[in-house]
Amino acid sequence: MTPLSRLAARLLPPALRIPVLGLIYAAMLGAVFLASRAEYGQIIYVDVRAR
Amino acid sequence: MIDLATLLIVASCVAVVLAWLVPRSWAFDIVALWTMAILAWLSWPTALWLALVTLLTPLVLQAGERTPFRGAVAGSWAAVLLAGFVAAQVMVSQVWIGAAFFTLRALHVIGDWWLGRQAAPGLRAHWRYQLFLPVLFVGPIHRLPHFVRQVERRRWDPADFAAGAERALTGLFWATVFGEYLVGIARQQLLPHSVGPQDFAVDWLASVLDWVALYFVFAGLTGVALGLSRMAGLTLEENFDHPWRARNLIDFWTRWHMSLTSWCRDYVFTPVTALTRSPVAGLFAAMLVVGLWHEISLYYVLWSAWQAGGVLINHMAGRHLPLHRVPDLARRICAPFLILGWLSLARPVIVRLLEIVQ
Repeated sequence: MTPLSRLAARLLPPALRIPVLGLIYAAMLGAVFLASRAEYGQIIYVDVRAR
Repeated sequence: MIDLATLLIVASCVAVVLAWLVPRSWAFDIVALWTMAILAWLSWPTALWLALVTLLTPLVLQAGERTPFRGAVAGSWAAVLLAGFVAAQVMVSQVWIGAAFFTLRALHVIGDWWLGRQAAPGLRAHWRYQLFLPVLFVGPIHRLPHFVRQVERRRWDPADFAAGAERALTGLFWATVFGEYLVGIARQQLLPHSVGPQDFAVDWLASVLDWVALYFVFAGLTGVALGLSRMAGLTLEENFDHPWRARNLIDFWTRWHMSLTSWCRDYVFTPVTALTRSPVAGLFAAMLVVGLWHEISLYYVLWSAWQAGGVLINHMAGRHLPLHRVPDLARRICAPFLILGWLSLARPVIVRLLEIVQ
């Protein structure tokens, strides 16, 4: 079990676990997509050196 | 346009698929070939240098086993690798990917061979170890014996695969949403927009925000690397152990970028302390390596001295001040702020110091 699914198993009735987990993963992916489109900067800690 | 980091993450996902599609005995050789192909496409100097390091290190060490001059062989080859690392730092007109990480991995192999901790690695084991794309560009600086054991014990486990996928997704969320987006907003709101000489407090605040962003981005991307590794069936070394829970600066450096600090402990702090009989010399040497590993510059020499000085002050305060009288709860609450304050104070102080000197 993954950490989130363990948490879901503890807090949610069985019928709700998979839909709620699916929603959480989708929300995370969506947030990553939206945040990476914003112009706040770029990932700075990848070891790539160039001018 | 897709940036380089995204491309490397996508290519690492393909490496995971290859690790399970290809027959088990060849899986990590194909992953290594894939890594070389990606590097050759994105940065031919990296591909060329890494191919030489990967192929020649086992051959040099195997040849060294047949001579009585193990120290000279290890020292000379380590000097060649360090020269390559310096060149990667200096030649900024070329794109270099992961040079800081794979140099330390190669030095670990040489160091352990010289100290007699492990035999000269086989060509194939070393090739698989150095050319594992998910950890090539963001760490951790994993160790060869552990990697070889993980490859041998690897088996398909859907629960492990799912846990790895969740870790990778969570890491990406930390890096982009917290590290870039939210800290980016905080930067925009809290820092003045005007360009020019800024006051000390503003520079300090900017440095605090950079440390917070660095934590989320670096820990997040390490999570992506470790998650993808786990999806490929390998549980590699952790790099962060809840650094915000550190009780003091000494504790912090055992929780932050652990694979680098343990590398410096094993190959710099311990030998220098043994040679000089001075843990202070060992501490300053280890911090100097940490600093120069990030960038070879006077700034990072001073940064190393600052951080080593912080550890030293922390050690002396623990011995001479009645800190045990401070309530435990108060110490737990204050410690993260004091640690972050010291770490981030380095930049405004050093920048001003350099302005005076230059």
